[in-house]
Amino acid sequence: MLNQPEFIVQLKQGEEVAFTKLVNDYEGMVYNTVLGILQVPADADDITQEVFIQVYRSISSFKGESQFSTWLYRIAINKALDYEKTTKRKKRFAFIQSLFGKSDSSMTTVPDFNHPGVILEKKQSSAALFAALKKIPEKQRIAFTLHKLEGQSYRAVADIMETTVIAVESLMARAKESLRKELKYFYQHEKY
Amino acid sequence: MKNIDMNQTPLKNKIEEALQSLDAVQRATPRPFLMTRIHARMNKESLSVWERVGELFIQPRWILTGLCLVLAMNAAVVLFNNRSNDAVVSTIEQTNSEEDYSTAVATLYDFENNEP
Repeated sequence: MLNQPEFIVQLKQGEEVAFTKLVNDYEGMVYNTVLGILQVPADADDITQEVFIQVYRSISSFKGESQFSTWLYRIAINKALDYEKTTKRKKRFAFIQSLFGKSDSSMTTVPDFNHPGVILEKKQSSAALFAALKKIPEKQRIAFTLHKLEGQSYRAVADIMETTVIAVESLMARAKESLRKELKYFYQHEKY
Repeated sequence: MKNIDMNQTPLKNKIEEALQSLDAVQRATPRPFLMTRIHARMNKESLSVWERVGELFIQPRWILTGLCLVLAMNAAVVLFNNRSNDAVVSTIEQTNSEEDYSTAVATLYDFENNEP
């Protein structure tokens, strides 16, 4: 990886090489985070593109007060959450339309998500976990995704979420509790 | 009580197994040529307003809508013209028949026409 201050300077100057390097170095990080939140590979690909375009256009606003990766994580998470809210709004609208006889089936069907990085033996249980993740509160979900899926430490998660380590510990404990409840319901009523 | 525990244990195991399913997960990577797609998107977004409007109107649905609109307007003009012509013809016919049955002969009162 390039030396960070120099790399940022090059990015701010609009250098093509620096931007290519940025995409190559961080595409996995951004895509994996966005995929963990959205759970739809095509949407995650789209939002990943949007994240890098926004970074390219707003790099001048990066003051270096935090790590570059922290700043990038925040953009990726915000973009993914914004997209998710828009999709939910569209789904609600589709539902209202369906009441009047105009239904769009592509909007209402949510396929089971299998993360490509999960080993084969754990695919089934991870699909249940991802389904449960969609139902827990947003902050708990973000903390869990960053820690479990991205392997970030509590300290790093706290920096990204602009909170304290204690708050992240609490979020993680509540996330696990919420997930246990959701998984219990899932296994008892759906497929157990 | 013992039976309940017997049933609860496999469920608890499944839940714990699901919670631990992301341990040692590999990072997912996007499809190849992400950079190319980003460039294409940036170029698309940097189009001028007129280029965007042009791009919008070359879509088949807009072309079809435009064609239908032109056809509908033509049909409306033709229908309107037919109705207007009918009205003119009926007015002329009415005037002619009124003149045919009119008893007033204007020529009788002409000063220039002194001849009997």
